[in-house]
Amino acid sequence: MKLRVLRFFDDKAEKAFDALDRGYKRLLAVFVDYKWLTVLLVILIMVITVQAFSSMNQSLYPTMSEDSVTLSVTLPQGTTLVTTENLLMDLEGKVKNDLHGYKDIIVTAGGGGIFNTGSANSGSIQISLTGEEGGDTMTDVQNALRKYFSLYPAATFSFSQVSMGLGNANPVDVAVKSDNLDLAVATAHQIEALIKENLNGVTEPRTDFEEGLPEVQIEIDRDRAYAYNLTMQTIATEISNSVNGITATVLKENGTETDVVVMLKKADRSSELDLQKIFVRNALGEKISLANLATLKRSTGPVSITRENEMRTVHVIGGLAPSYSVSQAETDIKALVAENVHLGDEVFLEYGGDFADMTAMFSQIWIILVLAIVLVFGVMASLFESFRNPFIVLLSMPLMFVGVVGIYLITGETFSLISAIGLVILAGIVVNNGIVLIEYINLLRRRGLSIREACIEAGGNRLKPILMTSLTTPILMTSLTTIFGMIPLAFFGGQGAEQIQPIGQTIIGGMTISTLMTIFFTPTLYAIFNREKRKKDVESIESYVEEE
Amino acid sequence: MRRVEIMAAQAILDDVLESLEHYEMGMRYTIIPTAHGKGNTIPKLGDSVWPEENFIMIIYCEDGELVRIQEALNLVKKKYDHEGIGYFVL
Repeated sequence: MKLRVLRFFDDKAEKAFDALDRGYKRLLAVFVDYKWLTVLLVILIMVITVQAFSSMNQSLYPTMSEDSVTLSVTLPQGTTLVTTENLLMDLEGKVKNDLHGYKDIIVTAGGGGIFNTGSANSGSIQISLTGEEGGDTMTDVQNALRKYFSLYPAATFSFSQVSMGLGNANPVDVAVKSDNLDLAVATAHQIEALIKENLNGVTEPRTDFEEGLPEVQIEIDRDRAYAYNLTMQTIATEISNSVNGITATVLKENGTETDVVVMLKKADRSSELDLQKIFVRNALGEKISLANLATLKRSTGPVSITRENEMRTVHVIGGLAPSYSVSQAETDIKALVAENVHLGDEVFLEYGGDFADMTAMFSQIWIILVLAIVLVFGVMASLFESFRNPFIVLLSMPLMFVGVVGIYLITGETFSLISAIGLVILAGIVVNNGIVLIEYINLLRRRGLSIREACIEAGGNRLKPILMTSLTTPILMTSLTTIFGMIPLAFFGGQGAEQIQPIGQTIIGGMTISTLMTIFFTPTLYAIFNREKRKKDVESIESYVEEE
Repeated sequence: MRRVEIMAAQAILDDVLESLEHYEMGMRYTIIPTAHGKGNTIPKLGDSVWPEENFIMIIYCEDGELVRIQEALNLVKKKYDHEGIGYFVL
């Protein structure tokens, strides 16, 4: 019984494969007969593909999801720890209700970022996720937090990565360079505001410029001070002792030491007026008030200035929403700046971050790809003992782009550096089918078949074993095994799989289309590049004798 | 005494021997294991274009045994209908 069922399926499959084979041969015959039209069609497909590729979303690395989200919050310099803490607790309380499936939330005030290198005006909220099915993902949590950002206009928010993902922490990075720091800062703020207003895909745009701390400057009138017999040091020491206090002595009792600090009462040292009321005693024993000697001025302290290549530089930085690619962001920001910002002669912009890395790394990958193709050509040339046949295989190689571009358009993923690595791998795989096919066409021609017959027969013969058993190296079978083998890698992601998924997707897309292209286009190219064999030696001798 | 020459693909040599044994032929023969040639089926030239090869089996036997040899070869022929088996009697 079992055997009968198996035989039934076997017969059906056999018939189906035969029909496929016949259909393929008929179609291939049409392609070989109208070879130039076929070439034209393929060129057209390639042009469309290149067009689609240039308009495709590109990024340096795929966004990687993590099991925790860290939000760094920075308030204006001089904000007290209590205010910072209140803001963070408030934000935590609000966002808590929106989250589903988190392990714990850690709120840190007076510090922040990964290394806790902050001061009283900064802090962070770290949310650990359970990573369970149905729970919030990193992006969900970030979006939940973003909703509340507008409630705190004074604060600057940024998400920092905890794990060592690939790529830059700030994919968007526009360096504003100028010798004039004020101009650079103003331009940077202008660009920041433009991005904030127009480009929603750039997340948390901000500048890396830190404002100086607010401070009170005491300007001493030296002439008056000398007239009162006071030195600068005496005045400074008096102010310091009054406000900071001075350790008068240390009490030692039963082995414990207690500092005795002498300073003004808190009420007497908490405002500007209090400062003016500080009295300094001169050598004659006279008490002179500070108001008599100095004027107090409010200002901000010195800022940290970053220089790159001896130019003062302010960076406008930001993250990218998952759906927004670097290439798109770069184009948009450039357009926005060109339209709205007048740079003048003193300021110029440099696009860093993922923009710059992408250009540098992609050009390297292209060099690697060219090297790979040259090596593959070398191996094929030695195998075929000819330069023409490897060239046919090489010509059909760029057609793998059709599939790669196709799969990225279908899945809507962005083309990243990892995809380009997939392309290099693909360059080595897609030639295999072409090599087998051309080798067999050559064999059939040596067995006496004409070029047309050899091309059609070889294709048909290759196709069948492909799907059924392995008589020789089969094309479709090898292709299918590779494609099916890549499916788990390409489509069943998990946490962290986003970084390698593009390799699988590239190989699946590229293999599928280049297999089709190999079985249809390679025989056609062979027919174009090869001529029927010249007369045999005996015939040439005969014709030579006749001419004599 | 007759001389019988059998020429066929190397791939079916074992079947030919088995079949002859089955028809109780006295197993006295000479085999030239590798022979190249072209006949009615695909050429067997042992090169990269036509990689298959033939063998030649030579048997000296009495007239009465010829029928059995023929039957043995028919049996093989039934199994491999697409293979050419050369059978000559001198």
